[in-house]
Amino acid sequence: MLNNEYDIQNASCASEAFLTFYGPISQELISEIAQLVRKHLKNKGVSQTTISKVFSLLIEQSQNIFHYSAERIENTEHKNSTIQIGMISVGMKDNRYYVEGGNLIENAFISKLEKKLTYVKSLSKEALKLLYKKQRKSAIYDSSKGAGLGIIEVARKSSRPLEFNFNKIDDQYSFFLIKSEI
Amino acid sequence: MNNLCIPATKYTPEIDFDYHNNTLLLSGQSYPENTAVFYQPIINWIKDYIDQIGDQETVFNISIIYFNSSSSKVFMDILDLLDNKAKEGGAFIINWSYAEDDEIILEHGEEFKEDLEHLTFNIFTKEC
Repeated sequence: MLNNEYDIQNASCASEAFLTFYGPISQELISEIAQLVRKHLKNKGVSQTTISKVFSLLIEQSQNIFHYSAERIENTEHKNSTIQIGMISVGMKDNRYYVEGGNLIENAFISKLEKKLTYVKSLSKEALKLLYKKQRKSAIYDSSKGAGLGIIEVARKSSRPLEFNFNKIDDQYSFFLIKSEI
Repeated sequence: MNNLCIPATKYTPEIDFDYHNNTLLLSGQSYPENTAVFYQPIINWIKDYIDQIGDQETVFNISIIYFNSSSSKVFMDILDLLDNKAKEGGAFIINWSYAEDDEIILEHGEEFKEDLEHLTFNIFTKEC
């Protein structure tokens, strides 16, 4: 669904990207990409704490796509299931590592997500910690999609405020991008 | 009651719950495709275990490299079960270990510890 006006180079600052992927995001693929990035950073002598943060942002953002992308294809291996399509990019800009995720979203869901992201973005590190712990203790568990902690976790692992936007494609869909920096 | 052993995969941890020796181990990485599906049998085992052990001491070794946010929720649920049992008189020792240079896993351990009241929660470094 990425079109000419909004191509993958724009989406991912590809010039600084170590890795950019756009396509079907499976669990297997997430795992491969995450291991590759971990190895790459280790070889570059990056600290374990930074590696852990990049790894965490990569997994949370990939699994978000995996759970929520509105662009999907049929999974030929499992009946009645789909594989979600999305974009994930890892790289370095201005001496900071970043992880960027993007996927198609139905316009109808934008306001709810935007509200949550804006709220999370407004919180201090200490407030994020309290929210995370409160939600972890009390959240009603949604068996298919995790515990609603993903966005909070992404904000906690980022050193800078989250950047996100919704790029309208047509009356039904937009392309959602979220970028976290360490 | 049987022991519960599940080998590690790339994204799920090794589980080695030994009913006879009262030792539990969770080790490796945890970011399953479907967290509920993977952890349901583990939670069920823990519930059965709590019902049967009386006041014997249990050691739970957690040696995790990475876990995602939905696993974090499940860990809290499991630790809450043990904490509630400890309140009623069971004895649980959690040994949370982290690689020396990994502040992230250290912090996660501290945050679990802050939210638990009745069990013993040790945090220590391990050799890389």
